[in-house]
Amino acid sequence: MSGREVIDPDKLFRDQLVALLPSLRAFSRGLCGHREMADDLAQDTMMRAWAARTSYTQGSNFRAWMFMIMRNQFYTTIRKNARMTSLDPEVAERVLVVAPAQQNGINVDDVAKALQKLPAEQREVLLLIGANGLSYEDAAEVIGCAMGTVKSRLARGRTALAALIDGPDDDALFASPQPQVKPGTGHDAAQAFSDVLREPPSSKMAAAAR
Amino acid sequence: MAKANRPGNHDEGMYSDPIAAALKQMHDAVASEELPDDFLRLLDEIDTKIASNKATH
Repeated sequence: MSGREVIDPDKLFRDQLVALLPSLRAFSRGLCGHREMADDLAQDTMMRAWAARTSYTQGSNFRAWMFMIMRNQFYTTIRKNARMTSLDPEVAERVLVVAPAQQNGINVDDVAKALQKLPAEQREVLLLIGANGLSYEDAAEVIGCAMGTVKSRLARGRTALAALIDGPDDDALFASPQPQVKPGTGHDAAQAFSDVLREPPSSKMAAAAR
Repeated sequence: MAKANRPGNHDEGMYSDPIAAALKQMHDAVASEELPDDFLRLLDEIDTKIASNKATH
């Protein structure tokens, strides 16, 4: 007896899948804004990933690979099913989160509701980086675009979200331009949020209006 | 793997931003939910397939 256990690649894949399920469900909920639709999407993603498991290279970025499958399936589904695109944000507000409502002075329900009003391309970047903690690089891999595009969408999405939460501010329409997002990866994702946060409230509205 | 690629890695600085913190809180609220039965059934199906493959090899 060698004493060395042979690792079953299917079992390994299954274990990685199980470990990622909570994050998959959370990403799906954020994308869909509706619990049942989100869980349908997450289950669909699970089974598609399982069926395609031989195309996954062990040791590569499993989370990015899974999120990519989910994202692709999400866009395929919304093209087929207008329900997802016409989801009532008021409903989304009620079903998206069951969590303490207040976070550093911001109502989490307000953020959830506003998130569903954003274009999907901005929403997904906010979810991948802001909620899931992906780096710019990983988010770009999931979305299939350049890192610069990710940074740009993150900044615009963050600004638009802030404007939606803050409500209309007419004076802001004539405010200063949006700050540049610095190049980089992981820590710069955090920096991007901070940079936008440091903007005066008025410039948030102006950027959102562009 | 780079720090920024690790699951759950969130730079503390990011959460000085209340919106980023709220997004993370939304994520964590869903992630901490118990898995619905439908998911458990799918995992059972996967386990059955794994066992079946093992038996045939």
